[in-house]
Amino acid sequence: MTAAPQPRPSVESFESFYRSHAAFVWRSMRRLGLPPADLEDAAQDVFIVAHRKLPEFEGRSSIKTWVFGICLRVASDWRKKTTARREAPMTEAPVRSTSGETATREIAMRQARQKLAEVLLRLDEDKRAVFVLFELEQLSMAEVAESVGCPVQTAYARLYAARAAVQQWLAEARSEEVAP
Amino acid sequence: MSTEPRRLIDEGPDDLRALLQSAQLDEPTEAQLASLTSRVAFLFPILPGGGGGGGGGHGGGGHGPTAGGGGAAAGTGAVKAAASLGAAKVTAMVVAATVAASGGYAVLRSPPPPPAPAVAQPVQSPIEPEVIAEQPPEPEPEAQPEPDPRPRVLQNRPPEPTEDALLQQAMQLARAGNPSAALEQANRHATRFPNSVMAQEREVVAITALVELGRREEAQRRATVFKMKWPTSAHVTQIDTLTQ
Repeated sequence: MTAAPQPRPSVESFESFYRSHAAFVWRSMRRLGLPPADLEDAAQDVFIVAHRKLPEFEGRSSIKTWVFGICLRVASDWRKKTTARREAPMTEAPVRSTSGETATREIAMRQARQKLAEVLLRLDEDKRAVFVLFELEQLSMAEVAESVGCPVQTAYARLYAARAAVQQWLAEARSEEVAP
Repeated sequence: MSTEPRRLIDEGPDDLRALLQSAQLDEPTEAQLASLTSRVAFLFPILPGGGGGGGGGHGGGGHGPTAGGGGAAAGTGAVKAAASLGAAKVTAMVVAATVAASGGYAVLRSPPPPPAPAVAQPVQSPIEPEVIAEQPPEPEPEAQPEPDPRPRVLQNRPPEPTEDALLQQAMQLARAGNPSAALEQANRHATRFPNSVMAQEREVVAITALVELGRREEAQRRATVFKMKWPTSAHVTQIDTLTQ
C-alpha cells in the first residue's frame, strides 16, 4: 500500500547491506586513490560510518550513491591522514598465473592498473570522483551528480576536464616512451 | 534528449581503454572480503534499533547466506534481539580469528593487526592485568639493583589486544551471558581508546551490560552522556529502549 520511493534498508538488514556493498566500497576506495595496504582499514571505516548513518538515509537517492558519498569523505580524510605518513606505494600482489601467455597478460594488466592509479591520483578529488563513477562504475551522469553532491552540469564539466587531463597525460606518456 | 556521453572504455583510444579495463583488478579477492567481513561483523549484532520500525519485527527468516541461529528475541530490547541474531556469526568470527574453524561463517580469518593470543582468551577469565598496567615501577624501599624492578606480571604480559579485538571480546562476553566481564572489557576499551571510532558501539555494549546487571542508574547515566556526546547517533533509539 505504501508507495515507498526507495527500498529504505532497515537496520535489521545491515549484514545484507554490507554484503551488497562490500565489493563496491572496496573498489571505490581503491579508485579514489587509497593504496592497497590501506583498503581494509578504510573500507571498515566506511561501514562504521554507514552503520551509524543508515537510519538517516531517506531513500531520496540510490543507496549506492549514498554509500559512495561516504566513501568520498572517508577516502579524503584517509588521504590527509596518510600523506604525511608516507608516499603511497602501490604494491600489488604477485602474479599467480602459471601459463606463460596468461602471466604476460596479467603482468600487462597490472602495469596498466598501476598506471591508472597514477593517472587517477593526479586528478583532483572532485574530478577523480566523477571520472571514477562515470567511466569505471558506469553510473549515469545524473547519479554521478547525486553522488558527489553537485549539479549535473557541474558533473559534466568535471568529467570533461578529467578526460582532458587523463588524455593529455597519456599522450605525454606515449611520447616519452617513443623518445627515451 | 539524453546527452549522456559515450564512455571511454567503449570508444576511447586503445591504450586508454586498456587502462580503464585494468580497473577490473580492483575487485577484492575472496580472502580480502573475508578479512573485511571479520572486521565489520561486530556491527551486525549491534544494529541500531530505530529506523522507525519499532522493536518487534525481527523476523527470523532469510537473513542472507550466513543466517545464524534463532529468530525470536523478546527480552530487554533491540540489542538483545540483534545480539542473538548475530551471535553465531560473531562467535564464529572471533573463533575463526584465532583458531580458524567454526561453522556458518565460512569466509573468516584473522584480521591483520590483532596479535593472535590476545584474542584467544575470551570467555572465562577476563582480565586481571588491568591493575598491573596502572602500577608504576615501584622498587622496594631497600635498594635491590639487579632483580627486575618491574612488577612480575608486566614481564610476560601478553601483547595488548587491538581496538577491534577488545571490542569483539566485550561483545562475545556479552553474548556468552557474562555481562560483568563484558562491561569490564568495554571499560578497558574506553580507557585505552577513549576516542576510538567505535566508541559509540562500545558504549552500547557497556550500557547493555549495565542494564543486564541490574545497574540501571549507571546505565541511565551512561546513556545520558552518550546522548550528550552523540545526540544524532543512530544508536540513540536503541539506548532509549534499553534504559526505559
